[in-house]
Amino acid sequence: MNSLLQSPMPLVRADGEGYTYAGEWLDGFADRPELPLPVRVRLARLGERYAPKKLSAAQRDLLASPMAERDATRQPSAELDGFEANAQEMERAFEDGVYAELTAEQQAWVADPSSHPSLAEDARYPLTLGQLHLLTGASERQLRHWSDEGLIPSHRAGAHRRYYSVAVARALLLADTPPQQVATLITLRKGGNHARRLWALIGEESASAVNAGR
Amino acid sequence: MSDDPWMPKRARLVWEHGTRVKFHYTEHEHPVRILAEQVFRVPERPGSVGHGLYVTTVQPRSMPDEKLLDLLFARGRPVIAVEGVVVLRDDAFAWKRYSHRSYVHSASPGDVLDLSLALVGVGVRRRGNWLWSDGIYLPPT
Repeated sequence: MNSLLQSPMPLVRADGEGYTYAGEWLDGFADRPELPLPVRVRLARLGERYAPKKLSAAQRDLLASPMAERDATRQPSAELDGFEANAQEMERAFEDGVYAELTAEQQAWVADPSSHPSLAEDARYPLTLGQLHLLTGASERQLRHWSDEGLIPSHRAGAHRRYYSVAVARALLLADTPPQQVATLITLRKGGNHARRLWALIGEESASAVNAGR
Repeated sequence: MSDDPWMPKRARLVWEHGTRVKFHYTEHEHPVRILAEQVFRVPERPGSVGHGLYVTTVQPRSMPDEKLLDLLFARGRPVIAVEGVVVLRDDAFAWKRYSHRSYVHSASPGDVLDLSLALVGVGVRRRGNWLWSDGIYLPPT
């Protein structure tokens, strides 16, 4: 079993007749006192749902414990919430045409950062600022600036910023864009008088022509 | 058959054995995190028929990615959006069918759904190969 794909807790089998845990395929949901307490609590919860008549007295006690309540009311980590937010950002990036602008090689890096020659084999999302720098070629200072200006999405995990696939896709395009154009982009995003003047100079016709040629 | 090098030879995927399950497709690293935490946060942005957890009965590798993307998402997404899959028991939640092979469990945006009693396993596609967690394949008999 690939260790990344190992569940820390027992999982119900698809047929509901038992569970899988630590590479084993087991029948029923009987208590196993040799296992850590959180695992036993989860087993008791599975038993309560799929074989309630077979619960032991020890399992009923486990279900009445505060640990069972805590197990049923877990909250997602910042890292997991980051993935969910990234899925929404992915939709916007797709609508904006970001992925269509990437080369096939860049698309492969977005899909799997570990395929980039500068990153380690075990590089996985979310990426650190240093990993994003290695992958895109943009300096860490540039990346922080783009992140502060809202050009690339980042998500906080404690004191650190973490980057997901949409950040990689957008940063790869920005790294290939001349700095003056990035500065113009930031001005346009900020709005106000300078942005209004730029929009006036671009003109509606030119903007439509760019969109039509996409 | 599977292309997972970790999977025992002659083992079969649970849905190839006739067991009904539901699939929630997502980006490939996302299911790894879901497997570790076994919770799901309902997205702030609504899907085709409102907020909730969206699933399908379409099995991995049973149709081209582009067709699957069209089936699953009201708005466009790149192929990486279907390189991971969370496999749930058929009776995990109260599903409402909203189109051919597509279902939703309606919930409020930001709600946290506990998957710990319904999660069968996950799969991720890395460089074209699907890898599976415990529970996705039946042990060889």
